[in-house]
Amino acid sequence: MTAIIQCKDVSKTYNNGAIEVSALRDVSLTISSAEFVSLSGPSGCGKTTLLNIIGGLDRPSAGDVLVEGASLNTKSNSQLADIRLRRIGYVFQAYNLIPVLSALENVEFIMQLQGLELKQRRERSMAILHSVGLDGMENRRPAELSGGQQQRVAVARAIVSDPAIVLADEPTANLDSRNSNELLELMQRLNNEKNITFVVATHDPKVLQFTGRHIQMLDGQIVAPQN
Amino acid sequence: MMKTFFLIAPIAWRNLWRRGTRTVLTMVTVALAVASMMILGSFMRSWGQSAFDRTVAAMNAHGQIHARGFMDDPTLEYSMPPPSTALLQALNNPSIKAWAPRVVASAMVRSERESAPVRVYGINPQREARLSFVSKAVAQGRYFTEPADSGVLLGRLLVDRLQVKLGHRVVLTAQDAKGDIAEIGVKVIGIYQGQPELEKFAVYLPITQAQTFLGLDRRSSEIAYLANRREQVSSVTAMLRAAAPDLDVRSWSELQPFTRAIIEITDNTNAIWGFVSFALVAFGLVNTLLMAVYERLREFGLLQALGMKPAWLLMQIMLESCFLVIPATLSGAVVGAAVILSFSDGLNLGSWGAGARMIGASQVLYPQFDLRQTGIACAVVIGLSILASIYPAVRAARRVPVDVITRAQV
Repeated sequence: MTAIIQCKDVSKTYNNGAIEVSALRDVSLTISSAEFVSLSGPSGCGKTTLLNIIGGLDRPSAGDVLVEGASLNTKSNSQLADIRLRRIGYVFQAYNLIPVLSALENVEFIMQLQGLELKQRRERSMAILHSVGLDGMENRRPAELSGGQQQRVAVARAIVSDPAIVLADEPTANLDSRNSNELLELMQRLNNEKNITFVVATHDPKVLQFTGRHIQMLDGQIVAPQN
Repeated sequence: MMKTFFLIAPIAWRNLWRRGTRTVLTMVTVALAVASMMILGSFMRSWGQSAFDRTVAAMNAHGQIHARGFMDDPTLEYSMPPPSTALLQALNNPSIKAWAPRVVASAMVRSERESAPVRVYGINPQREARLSFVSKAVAQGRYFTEPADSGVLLGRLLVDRLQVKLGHRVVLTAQDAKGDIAEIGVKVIGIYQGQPELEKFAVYLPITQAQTFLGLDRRSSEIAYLANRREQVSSVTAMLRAAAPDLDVRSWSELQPFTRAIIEITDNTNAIWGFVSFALVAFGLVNTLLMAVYERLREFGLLQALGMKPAWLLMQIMLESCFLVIPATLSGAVVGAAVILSFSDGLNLGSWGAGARMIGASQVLYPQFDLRQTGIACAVVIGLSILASIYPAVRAARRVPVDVITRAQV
């Protein structure tokens, strides 16, 4: 399998006034294409920070991240936005849908940013909403959907433009057990069918049953398995 | 670019209505500011215009030519011969609408019962009719028919004071060109109504009769001129100065510095009110946009996390500003225009009229809708408002997405 994500001695330090906090310390990690990887560990262990750095939302204090062989350190903010737009899908803990757009428009939004034509966007969005079980809810705004339904829209949005990688930060944290299972099954199915690489940061032990590789973090370092 | 616009515009429009009450209040503020700028601007312009019209109508015209020394000592000693060929040529230039020679002298008028100090104007009836109010202001009797006509026109207030009627005779006494006392008995052939100060003090004779009475032969005291347009007064005055370097040529603003001061005050008031109104609009707008930005920081972070470029985010905030300001400004312009047009028949100042007249304006003002001024005001408000929205927009675009996305839950 080809390496799709490579973290090389990544460190991240936050300055909180006079106090320096090391969120990541020399993390090295390689994730292959079509892997389903979970990052777990206690709160503050650095898994969200690592996810954000892999996604180009944050920059490392030291070290480098390569996505599909390209170093993120050399990219401008606008170039990073473009990589996120075309190659990376995001699923957040808090759903993070655009409140003024309907479910269909939220899913279409990424493709609109990519410049796809309306017909193509509409067809793909309808198909993906169908595949995540949201038939008939296309025109509802986020406030009119349940937590589980909103998270499905978020997943649909993350995968609709066939990204190479989907980064999910605590995707099941706000869901009940039935919705969590449905979501994880959906992600597993997409991983198998579309060969999308999933990296999921989670506290939820259930997630571990669905992932192919489990990475344990503590105090900003990977503790198991050692890379 | 257009694709980006069509992507962002619907989001910007919907965002505007997420806090509908706040948006409506801001729009009302902008609309009221624009309407008030237009209404006050129109009112002040009409005030300035009325002061100007009164000055022009009060025998000043757009300017006057005198012999040097007349303005300091306005007596017959400083009279002028008929215009030279060069001056005549300049006076007949197409940029001059009308001109007329006048004889001006201080005199006493007596009736059988009363006497009063007056200013005698000897006028050329045909030329003066194109220049000043007199020919159109005769309320009783008639206006002069020719320069060699005879008789006198008195103001309504002077007639009341002298206790005379149409057809009565009055006696004018003045110092003639040689310094001797001259007297003439003339019949009241017309009574005019006009500005109160003119009604009390200005009496009109045909110019030939006045020249004979005052021993001026064909000489005159002044030549009044009217340019085709107010904006041409400076150039016309300069042209006449060049044509008559030995004479004293002055425009209305030099003859009536008080009127000029009133017009400058009204213009400055307009500018100050415009500035204050815009400052209110700008602060209100920046406040609204900053609030809208701060309460949506997570969302902006999300949009960037999804791949929206910072420049597009900037465009989104700017579009929200446009959607807020443009309809509000246009609504304000419509309201302002409606109010101004509702006063197109005149705004009677009522009991304030006497005070208004003391500082140069008329009893009745005629506010006028000025499309050009309205266009400029709208463009300035819209342009500067969009500029004012740059700050909140830049703040939103500069936020690092991770800072805001991971900060709080929905």
